[in-house]
Amino acid sequence: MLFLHPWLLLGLTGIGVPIVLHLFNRRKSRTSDWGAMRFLEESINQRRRRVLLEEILLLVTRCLILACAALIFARPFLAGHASVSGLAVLTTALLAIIAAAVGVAIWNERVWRRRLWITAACLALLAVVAVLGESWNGWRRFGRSGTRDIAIILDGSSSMTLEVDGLSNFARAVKEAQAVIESAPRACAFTLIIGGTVPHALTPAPVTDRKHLLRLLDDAVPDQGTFHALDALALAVTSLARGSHGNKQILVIGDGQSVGWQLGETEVWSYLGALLERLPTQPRIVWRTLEMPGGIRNLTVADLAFSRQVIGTDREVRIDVTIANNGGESATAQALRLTAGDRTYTDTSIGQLQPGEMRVVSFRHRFTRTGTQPVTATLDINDEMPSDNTTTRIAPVRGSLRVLVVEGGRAPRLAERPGAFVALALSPSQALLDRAAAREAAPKAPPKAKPPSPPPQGFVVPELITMPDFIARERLDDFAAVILADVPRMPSNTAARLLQFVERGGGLLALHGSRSDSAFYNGWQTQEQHPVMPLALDEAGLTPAVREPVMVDTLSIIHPALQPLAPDSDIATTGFIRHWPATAASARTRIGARLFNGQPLLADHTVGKGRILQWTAPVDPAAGNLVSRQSFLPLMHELVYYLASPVVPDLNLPPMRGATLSLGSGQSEAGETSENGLRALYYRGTEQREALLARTDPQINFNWGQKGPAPGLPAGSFNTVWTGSLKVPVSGRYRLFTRAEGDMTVQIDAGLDSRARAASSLRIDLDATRRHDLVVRYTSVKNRASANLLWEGPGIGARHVPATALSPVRVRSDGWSETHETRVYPPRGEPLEALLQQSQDTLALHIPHRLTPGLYRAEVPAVWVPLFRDLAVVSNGMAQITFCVATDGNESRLATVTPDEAAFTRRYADLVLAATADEMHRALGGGATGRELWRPLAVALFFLLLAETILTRWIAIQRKTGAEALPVFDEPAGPSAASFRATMGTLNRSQP
Amino acid sequence: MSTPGYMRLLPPESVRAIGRFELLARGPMEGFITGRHKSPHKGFSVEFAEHRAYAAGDDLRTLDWRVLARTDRLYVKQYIEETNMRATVLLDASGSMAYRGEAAAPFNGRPLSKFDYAQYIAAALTYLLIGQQDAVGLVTFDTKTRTYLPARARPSQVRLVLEEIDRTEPCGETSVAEVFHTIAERIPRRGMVIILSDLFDDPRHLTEALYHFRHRRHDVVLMHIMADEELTFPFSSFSEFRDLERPGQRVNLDPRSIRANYLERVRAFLREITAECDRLKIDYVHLNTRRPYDLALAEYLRARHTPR
Repeated sequence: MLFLHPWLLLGLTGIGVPIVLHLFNRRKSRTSDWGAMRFLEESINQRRRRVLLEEILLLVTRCLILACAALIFARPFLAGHASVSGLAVLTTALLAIIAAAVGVAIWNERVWRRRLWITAACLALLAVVAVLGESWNGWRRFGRSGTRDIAIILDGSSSMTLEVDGLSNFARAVKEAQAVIESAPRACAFTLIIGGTVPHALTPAPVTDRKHLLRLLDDAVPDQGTFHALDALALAVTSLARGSHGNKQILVIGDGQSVGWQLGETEVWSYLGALLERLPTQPRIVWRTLEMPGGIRNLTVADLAFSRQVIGTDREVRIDVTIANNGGESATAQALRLTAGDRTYTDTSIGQLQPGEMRVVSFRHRFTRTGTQPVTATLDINDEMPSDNTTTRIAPVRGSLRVLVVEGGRAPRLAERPGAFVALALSPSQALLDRAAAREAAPKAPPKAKPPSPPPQGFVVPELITMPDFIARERLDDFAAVILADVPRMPSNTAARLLQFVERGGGLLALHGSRSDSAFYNGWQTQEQHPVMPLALDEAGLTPAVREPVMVDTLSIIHPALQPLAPDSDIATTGFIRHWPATAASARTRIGARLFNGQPLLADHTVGKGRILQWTAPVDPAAGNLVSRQSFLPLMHELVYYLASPVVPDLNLPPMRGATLSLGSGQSEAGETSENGLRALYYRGTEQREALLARTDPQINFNWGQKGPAPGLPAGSFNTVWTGSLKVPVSGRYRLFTRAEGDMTVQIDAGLDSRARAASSLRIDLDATRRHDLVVRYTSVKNRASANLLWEGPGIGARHVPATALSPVRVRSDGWSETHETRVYPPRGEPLEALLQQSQDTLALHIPHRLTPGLYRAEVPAVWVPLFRDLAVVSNGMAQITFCVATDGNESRLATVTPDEAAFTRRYADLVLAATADEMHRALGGGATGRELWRPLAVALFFLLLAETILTRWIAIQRKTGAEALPVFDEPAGPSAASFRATMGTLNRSQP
Repeated sequence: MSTPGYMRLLPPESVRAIGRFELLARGPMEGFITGRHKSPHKGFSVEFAEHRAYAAGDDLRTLDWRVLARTDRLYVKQYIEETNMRATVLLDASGSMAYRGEAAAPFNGRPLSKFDYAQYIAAALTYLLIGQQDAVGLVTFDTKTRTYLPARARPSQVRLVLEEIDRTEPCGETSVAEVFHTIAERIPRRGMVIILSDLFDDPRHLTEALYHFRHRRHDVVLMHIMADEELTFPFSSFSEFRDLERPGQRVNLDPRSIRANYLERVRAFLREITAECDRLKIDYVHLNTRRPYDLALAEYLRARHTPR
């Protein structure tokens, strides 16, 4: 038996009160001389036993009352696995009290008194030893396993907010956690984790400060969303690893919902198992499952999906909203509303959904604005879980998708070449052909008088160029995809550049025709010696069909890009007279469509981040009827969309702890530019956080005075970073120096040379054959501002660095990367610090914070906008990118864990399910579990009080019985003393 | 002129109160009521009682010659010896008599102990009886007779008796029966025996002793003195009772726990004595120290005069 409040056992000294009172009454006894001792002694002799019995009973009852009260306050409990029965200990203690009380009651019987007291002392000692032993045993058990760190994970998922009997399960979980903390031995350290979509620890490491822990629990709120148990467990392990105790335990208090536990996923569980093994001792995981409400009404928006990843303003996109009935009863939603941009669509045709039923409602919407557009689906229903009735996704609406079509055809008429077919299919306009024709004619003839028509305005913007142009073009980063239209072969450096483009996320579509060189395509390899193309073309070249055209086998179409084409479209009637026989080049090749003779028609695979598609039939009216099919246009578009998908950032993130949002390739600045000067960013204050002004300064030769460079940037409150490159006319030793009111430094080749340092004056050897990277920083700290960059060198006097020597394009090493601090506005609460990172091939937003479901707004300086390719919405100097952290639709399914699933977890971790609080305590083990005893003690106290009252009354009545009848003595009817004296007086006077 | 110490036992007011009464012996054994003797004579006198037929052997001096002359019959004159009453006061001086109850009637500002009470009663009776020219004797006793003053009718007897009473201090145990037997034998002629005691002895022994007195034809007046506390046992708090008769003997107890039993015992005790006294035709007087002794005595005397 142990006590929750052992100090309150001091209340047991209260037993002394009736004893002392008893003894004090005896001591206080008045002494009187007595004559009628005979009667007294006889009475005593007759009554002695009875009186003694009464006294014993009273004293014992009173002592027991106080003992019970003291014990109740000390909150005894019977340890679940006590070595000595708690009831036996209790009985022993009470017997000791009884013996002591009897000993006091028979005060005059010295011998018996002594015997009883010795007995009482022995019994009390026994009880104390048992209690101390039990508690020591608890400590020892504890000590043997090393004192404990316990991680308590509270399931903060949406389902925990459902109320059962007027109290949410989360509130229950908090209570149980508090009970565990209160009942645990003192040395136990706890770490608290609220598990939600992204678990977060309330305490970074296990702490023992109970008050603090209890307060934290009092303030805890559920996170909503799905409880990602494994993340929480991993977090718990991390936190436990920081604890000082060798023995660890993890307690999960949740509602037994299996969603988020990734049950059955062996990989993550093995990972968790490995993680757990890293702790000094394998922690036991106790999963307390609170009862989940059953039979609730719950419709949920399970999913919201766009039919394409690449969404433009050119055509409608299908938006599929999946509605599911995750409740236990059938339910009817009044309407489903979809809000996209300025428009709201309402669907009232949903009707009743049976439990478990799902329904997909499709909307078609054409976005009118570019940028990140939130699309929200809302169910109009008043059900028990309103949180899952709304889902939002971000549609990244692109303004344009540039595609480079490389013409390999040699047909005499431009319009008959495959590249032209493709380009026209992508953007049907005469201008495109005109421009291509003009470009073809340009080397030979002077430009025509006819002004070039404006570039085509569509979503997909194709550019049709010839092979020589393609070879000459250095930069491909502006394009989402490159289409090789029957290009026979490419020079190796062009091929390498194209491969690099693909590896960074660009798309490549190879359309093979009669001119394609199978040797080149089959031999084209990545640096790792893998084939670049998904198919190995047959060396025999184009094979003519034997008798009739080979048709497309529609049943073999599995490629996602072809899925949007309706199955009843005329793709089924497409046939080819000739085609390239081919086989899959590697195991990673996916054959997306086949011809009826079994030969692949469309194949793809990924290389690096990009996708490569291969089409084996010529796009040529002579080779087949493809170009005359209605499906041709959408086919080309869908293929381009598919190719462009990798460069479209996914702005719908799962909830996670810290996210990296990939926004693009990071390459958008023109590689070579004739522009002179330096790129300048003017920031407010002394930190590079809030860029208010971005421009190209021809040279650094400023004397702003008090006003500063721009309104809002007064002297003394801004800093500037100039970046770019420097090209010197003659090689030699130069001195670069600054003249400024404020702090100004200059740095050469910072990204190339690790020894490069920033100083206000540099003496450095500069090479005229190459450009040198240049960074100049200036911070205005005085009430006047001026900044000047000067140089002197071979044959050059000290003067301002001229604009001709400067270029805004930086020279950087291969692994360069640059970061910029920015802010992200979460759905609720304070803005989060985020880091925008730009490097050679990535543009990413790092948000090192917990992301809970909802809409987020990232704010970046407008100067970065070109990097985002239409994704950002610019308003007053700042660009905003919206992204969404989505919820898991399964959360609302309320499926409880099954025994099989529980058995699965036991393969990786010592996981124990506890359906009741008692089981939980037992599973946690240690010396602090058991059954509290105060209830039976309270009942005993009540009965003892009753017994005491009855006993007292009964004794009083017993004593009064027979005591009313006084002995007859005296003559009752005599004159009073006064009248007697009066009579005497008169008599005496009359009788002298 | 200073009053002798023993005179405190005869305070003037009680003398006044008691002085009006007289205590006459009853002659229950003869079957007729003895008239009050108002004899002015000193010494003893002879009173004619009746005539009886002469029987051989009678003293001729007692022959009534006048009757013989008139009727020629032989009658003998018989005379009743009319004596002045010989009263003996038996004063219990045992330890238990020293009990002084709080409820007792105060005298001279302090409550009287049972012994004080008995002293005053004894003194008053002595005064009364000597005043009637009766002889008064005194016996003080505890377990045995302490002093014995034979009855005398001399006025100076008052002084002797009072001095003796005044001198006596209560101590020792009560053993009434044995003492009574002794005294019953010691008192030479029948007379009045006035017992002043709390009678704390076995009622059976007491009854036997009283029977002894009756057997000796003594007119017994049993004055049973008890304190009110002894009758009602009013104590409520835990007390230690020290035995007055056996020093060192003490009892600790909660009085309430035995009160009923105690009272029952006292009731039984009194019942028994009353019954025995009725049987033996002993004048049994309850004297509760709560009532002033002169009042109680006066009442008793008045009641005794009134024929039952």
